[in-house]
Order: sequence, then structure tokens, then C-alpha cells
Amino acid sequence: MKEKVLLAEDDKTLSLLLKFRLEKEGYETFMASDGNEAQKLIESSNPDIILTDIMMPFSSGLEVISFVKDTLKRDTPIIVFSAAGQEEMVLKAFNLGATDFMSKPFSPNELIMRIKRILMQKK
Amino acid sequence: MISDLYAYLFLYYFFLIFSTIVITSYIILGIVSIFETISYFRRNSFVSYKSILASPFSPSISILAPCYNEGLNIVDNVRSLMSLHYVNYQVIIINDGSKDDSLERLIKVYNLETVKYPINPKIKTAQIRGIYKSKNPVFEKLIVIDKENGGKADALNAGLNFSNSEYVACIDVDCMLIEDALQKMVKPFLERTDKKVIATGGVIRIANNCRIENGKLMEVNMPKKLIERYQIIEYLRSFLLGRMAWSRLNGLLIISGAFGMFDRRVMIDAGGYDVNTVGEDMEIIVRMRKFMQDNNRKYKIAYIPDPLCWTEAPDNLKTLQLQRNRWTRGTIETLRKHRKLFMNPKYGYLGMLSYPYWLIYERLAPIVEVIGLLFLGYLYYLGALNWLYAWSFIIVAYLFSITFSMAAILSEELTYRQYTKKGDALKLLVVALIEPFTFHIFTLYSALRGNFDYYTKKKGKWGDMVRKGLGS
Amino acid sequence: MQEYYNDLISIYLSLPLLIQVIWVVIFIEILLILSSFINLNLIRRRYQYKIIEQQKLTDKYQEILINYIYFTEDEIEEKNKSTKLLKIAVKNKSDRKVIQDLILTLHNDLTGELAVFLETLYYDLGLVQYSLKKMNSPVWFIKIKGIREVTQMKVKDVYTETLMLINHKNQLLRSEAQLTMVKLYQFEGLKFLDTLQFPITEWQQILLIEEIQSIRNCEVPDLTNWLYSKNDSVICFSLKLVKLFNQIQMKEDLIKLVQHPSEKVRRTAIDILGYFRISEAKTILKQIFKKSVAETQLFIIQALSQLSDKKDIPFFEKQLNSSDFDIKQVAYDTLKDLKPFLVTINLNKE
Repeated sequence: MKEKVLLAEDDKTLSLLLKFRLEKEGYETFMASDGNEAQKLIESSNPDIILTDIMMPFSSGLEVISFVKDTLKRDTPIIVFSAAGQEEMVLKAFNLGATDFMSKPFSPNELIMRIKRILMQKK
Repeated sequence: MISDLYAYLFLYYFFLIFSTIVITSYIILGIVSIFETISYFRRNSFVSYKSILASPFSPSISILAPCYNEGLNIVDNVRSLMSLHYVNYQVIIINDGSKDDSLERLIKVYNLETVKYPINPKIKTAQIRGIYKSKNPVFEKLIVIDKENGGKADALNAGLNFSNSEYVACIDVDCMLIEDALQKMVKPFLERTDKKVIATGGVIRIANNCRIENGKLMEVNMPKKLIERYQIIEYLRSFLLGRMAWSRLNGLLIISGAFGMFDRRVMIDAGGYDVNTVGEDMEIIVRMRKFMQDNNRKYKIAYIPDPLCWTEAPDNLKTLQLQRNRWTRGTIETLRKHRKLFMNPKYGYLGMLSYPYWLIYERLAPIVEVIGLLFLGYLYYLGALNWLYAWSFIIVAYLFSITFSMAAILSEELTYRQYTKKGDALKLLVVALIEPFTFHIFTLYSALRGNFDYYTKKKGKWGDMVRKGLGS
Repeated sequence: MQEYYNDLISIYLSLPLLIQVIWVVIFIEILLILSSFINLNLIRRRYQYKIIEQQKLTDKYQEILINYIYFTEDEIEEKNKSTKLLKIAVKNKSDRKVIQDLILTLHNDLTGELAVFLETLYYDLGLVQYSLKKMNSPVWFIKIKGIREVTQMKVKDVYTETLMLINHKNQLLRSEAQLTMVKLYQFEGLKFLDTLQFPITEWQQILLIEEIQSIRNCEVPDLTNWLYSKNDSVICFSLKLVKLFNQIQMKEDLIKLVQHPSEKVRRTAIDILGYFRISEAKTILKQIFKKSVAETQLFIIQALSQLSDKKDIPFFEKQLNSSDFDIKQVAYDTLKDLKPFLVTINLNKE
């Protein structure tokens, strides 16, 4: 059974790139371009791991995290991306229950490594 | 009768010269404004506002938002204000003795508890009843000041006393700010090395019929009612074709009370807001300028044309009249209070250009126009009306109004393009065509009433604008 | 017809001058209205069209690009085909713009081997040439675009050209050039501070510091010279660097700067002395306190509160009577720390 990854990222090119890479690694990828879409997809597809950008237009990654941990009460691991200089947001993300974070710019190779590690730990 | 003839000639030439001056200045300001807006637009399309977000050297900002009987929306408004993309800021809500449950709602939703803070008593305000902060670290940016009722100016002064940030953003609590509003507004303060920027004004956009979810602007739509569309054209003309020019000339006399940012120290040193006027937003600017000039300090008031602040405009004639009435009285009060500035060379541009212009155009023009129309009517009644002249004047004035509105719509199209749906421009155009003999007359009437109310010393209050609620 | 026309002209010319003028104005107004109306429509239509076209191109090249990045070894033929296609596409202006934007946006978010891959691709496709051409354009905003592209793609040999722009009269160009110097040449790039003739705005200083903060594995340069620059904003900027990099060894210079002619320099220096807790500064700070303006006094007393011990209690007690509330506040808070049980004054009593 393929493991499911949900990616919430507003930059289309970047998310397409990541989707390609994730699917090459054998993950089934769901894409959302803002927090609202992400929340809907999370509910319907129940992914094994969630990747979300912290600052998206119209919503924040923090709301997504809160939705997963507080509303849905799932323990899905969550990795947040942040642009440089948003330490405060990152701290809040961890307080809300995020598992890991990667600052932008980042290396997709490293991202894949972290996803693998986290999913291994979960098992 | 000879005297009649002289009277006639006098009035005739007076109106002629007056209108020519007004129209010419309109044109000059319009052209300067357009150039300035496009130049600003071009310069700022390169700016990255990311670095300022969380730099250890970014200046501290306090948002001051007075609240009075906002019950229905206060929670959402506050949440919206707390989700701006700036790091070094706080949101200070001043509950101005609301009679409804605004305060209770805030305490409940944001987990507030009373705290003790000493307050700078530099500016006298109504009694402070308590200060609240949230127990929840997620809401650490929020501070609520509860005080006895004293009016908007008084509430803002209380906020000024309390805050210790470098800059304060004074807003109407039901204004929806775009996420990077704070960065954009604070930038002018950090960019001048020769003059001190003491205030920055923002553009107010009309949120009626726009889709707002969770305190964020999702979709910009043209409002449904003609009266709302009329205000859009009015605001576009005023902001894009007027204020940018004044900003360039450093002659701005007003920053919208709905959204403006100020240097806190200068504002306090100048004395804070005046609680005895209904036009506190204009009065404080004039006073701050006078203060800087009295102290021989070079200064500038900047203007950001980006659409950063969206608010609900009156959607019926009654509320519109109350608003315009208040604006008129505010203008009169401010001009009278600072009449020492008039043609006073000691005050440079402020006294020799801005003040006279405001006096003639904002204060007197409505009266002159009404007298002109009455005069026309009188001539008609006497059968002495020269139809050629009358029609020529009417046509040139009408077409001028349309030309100006077109220029405003075009400028908007060349810069911010907020209205992108098909047919939007056409809708505005239709309103521009009927405006001169409908809404414009109504505005004249409101201005007259404002004058009347002022001179009969009616104690003006804000007027209850029945809140439809942002996002409902 | 001709007769009618002549009649019209003669009627017009017989009108009073004022009316003639008015009708000329009316004519102009009608022209303006019609032309703005047409313009408006054109602009709107052109804009819609441009958006659709651009979206099509973006989608097309997005796919090509991403496939290109992930070609495996056995897809060499495919890869070569794509390279050829892209090289040809780049010659067309609108295609080139889309491809360029795609590469640049992607590169912005990525590091590691993918970033290097994109930089190499940028070279291979010949896009570097176009960026360099932009840099040499006489139009300032095109120049800026060029500089940005060149900087992002780490084109290293633009040192001289960039240095020349440091003192350009256009402020935006100057700023962009300064940022480039730091981005491409790290601390070496800061040499521009030696020759900078214009002031650096606070905004620009913040941008520069953000860039500097991401410099890794480099030794902090000697900031001394810049602290004595004739350009006050250079001093302020260097002071920020002193604070950022904890250059406590500069304390002598900091103490000297407390009496610099520029108010801003003084305040920044005072703030850092307090931040570094340099107690040697106490005497001089107390000395200049009386002669300083209220705002500077506030800085001084805030710094002093970091440096003080029980011997300084009298100074702070005196300041409890200051006419400036903020100064009183600091004095009160400091006294609370210094002699916790003895202070019982209610600050809000006037």
C-alpha cells in the first residue's frame, strides 16, 4: 500500500516539482494550494504525513496544524516549511504539534530523507 | 438698474474665476498624482518586504483600534488584526465604554485576564477601568484597554499613552488590513535620511460585496448598489488623483482616520488627538505639521497608494449624509482652530498653499456651488437667463466631471487593478455618468447641512452606522 | 454640405470669446473621454489575453522543466531533445521570459544539488547573456532586473560593474548593487562601505543585515575603520554589525562614539554599551546625561539600568522626578531591582 503524502504549498512550480519527486519515491501525493483546500483534503484522504508551508495567502500553516491536532485529533506527523526569519511562527508550529520543520530554501533530497525517517519511526 | 448690473457682473466673474481656479487645480493635481502613483508603483514592484518581517532591527508598531459597541464582529476583527505578517507588533483594542457585550466576548474568546500596567498620563483621557492580556501565549500580541466612554479621539489617546512602540497605526476596528499592510506602511519612516517622516496615510478601499473569509480578503467584487459604486469612484478620484499629488508636495492635510501610521513620540509631543472635534483625523495632522514647523524640524508626511485597508462604506442615503455631515463639520472645526496658518509665510507650504486650498476647495466650494446654482435658478426665474451661456457652462462642467472620473478609472486600471471582473469598469462608468446630477447634489446637500449643524452648534456624534458586519 | 459647414464656422466665430473657449474645452473633454474609454477597453482586453497566454506557456514549460530535472541516465535521448527545444525557445522573447521566471522562482526555494543544477541550466541555455545585457541597460529598472538575475544565479564575475553602481544617483540601483555585493562576495563585498558617498536608509540597513546573517563560515571583518567613517549612516550600520556579531572588543570605540556629533550615532552606541553591559561606560554616560535631549536621555538611562549597581541608586532616585514619564518608568524599574524592599512610590500619582 502506497503511503500518502499531503502537500500544502502555494507556489505551483515548487509543488509540482515536489509532487514529481515524491511520486518517484513511491508516495501517493495530494496537493493543496491553500489552508482551506488542505484541511478538506486531509479530512477526506487521511494522509500518512503532511507537508505544509507556514505562510500561504488566505490562511496559515498554523491553522492546518491546529485543525489536524485539535479538531481531527489525529497524530499525523507534520513537517512545516518556513521562509527565513520566521522563527516565532516555527515555535508556534511546534507548540501546536508540528513534528519537524525545514527552512526555505531547502534541498528536496533532505526532505525525502526526513519523510522516510519520520514514517519509519511511526511504524 | 445699474447696481443690479454690477451685482450681476460681480457674481458672474466671481463664479467664472472661482470655477476656473478649481478646475485648473483639479487638473494639475490629477496629473501630478497620476505620475506619482505610477512612479511609486514602479519603484515598489521591486521591493521585497520579507526581510523587514522578522529582522531584529525592525521597528516596533502598535495597532490602536478603538471599539464601541462592535459586539457583533469584535472577535473576528481582532483575529484578523492578529494575523498580519509582521512580527514586532501588538494589537491594542481600546474598549470605549461599550454598552454591549464587546468586552465580555473578547475576554471569553481570547482568554483575557486583568494585568497591572502603569500608564503614561501625558495625555488626559477618560478613566481607565482595566487592562487585559491573554493567558494564552498564542494571543500574546493582544492587549485590551477598558475605559470610560470618551469618544474615538479619547480612546486613541488612551492607546497612545499605553503603547511604547516606535510607531502607532490608528485604525477603525472594523477595517480589514491586508497581511503586509504594516510593512508597507512602515517603510516610508525608514527610508528618509534628510527629513523625518511623521505620518503615513493609507488608501481606503470599499469592502462592500467583497468576499471576506476568516478575516482575509478573498475576492474583490463590485458592490451592488449605485450609492456604493458612487463612493468607489469618489475614493478613486480622491486617492489616486488627489492625495498622491499632495503627498508629493508635502501638503497633505488629512490622513484617513480609518488607517494611518504615526511616529508615536511626535504625536504625543504634539498633544495627541483633540477630543473636542469630530474631525480628529484631519486636526491631528494639521497640528503635527504645525508642531514640526514651530520647532524648525524638517518633516514629511507620506502616502501609500496600495490597497491595504478595506472597510464597509455607507449603503444608504441616511448614513451617507451623517458621514458627510461629520466630515464637513470636522473640516470647518479644524480650519477654524488653526486659522493662524492662513497665508502665514512662517508656515511655508502649509500656510501658503495647503491651508488656503483646503479652505477654498473643501470648505467653501460646496457653498459657492450652491449659490451658483441658486443664482442660475434666479436668472431663469427672471427670464434673464442667457441659454447659450447656461448650457455651455453646464455641459463643460458635466463633461469635466466625467473626464475626471474616467481618468480615475483608467489610473486604477494602470496600477492596482482591483476590479478585474468583466463589466466592472462599465458599472463604474454608468455611475460616473449619472453622478453629477444625483449623488453630487446629495453630497452638496450634506455639506450644507454640515455647515448648518455646525453653526447651530448641534453636538455631533458619530452617528450610529448600523453594522452589517464584515463577512456576513 | 460645404455651405452648412461654412455656416457653422461663421456662427462659432460670432460667439463671444469666452463661449468659444468653453466649446474648445468641451471638444477636448469629449476627445479625452472617448480615448480613455477606448484605452480602458483595450487595456482590459489586452490584460486578460496576456494572462491567459502566459498561463498556457507557464503550464507548458513547467512540465518540460520538471521532466528535464528528473531525467534518468537511460533517458539521455529524451534529455537532449528537451535541451534542444529549450535552447530554441529561449530565443523567443515571451517564451524566454516564462522559462526564466520558472527557473528563477524554483531556484529561490531550493538549495543543494537541484539549485546548482538550475544554475548550470541557466548558463547552458544562454540566459546569463540576456541578464548581463539587462545590467548594461540605461534604464534603471531593467538594470535592477538584470542585477537580481545575475545575483541569484551566482554569476561571480560582476564585481567591477556592481561596485560602479554603489554611488549611482538612483537610490534603488544603489541598494540593489549593495545587496549584490554582500550576496555574491560576502564580507569582502562590504568593502563598498569605504567609498559610499550616499547615506544608507534604515530600510536598506535591515535588508543588508538579513543578507549578512545568512553568511556562513566566514570570519567577521574588522569593523574599526567603518566606525570612524565620515558617512554617519555607515557608522550606524557598522554599529548594528557590532551588536549582531558581539564584537565586545570594540568597547573603546563605542565609548568614543557616545559623543559623536550625530544624535543617531550616539543613541545607537549608547544602546549597544548597555546591551554589552560595559560598566566602564557608566561615568561618561552619566556625564553626558544632563546635556542630552529627552529622547537621548531615555537611551542613556536604559543603558545605565543594565550597568548599574547599588552605588548608582542616587542617580536613579533623582530621575524619579524627571518630567519625562518614560524616564521615570525606567528609573522606577531599575530601583525596584536595586533595592527591592524600599521603593514604595506609586508612579501614577502626579
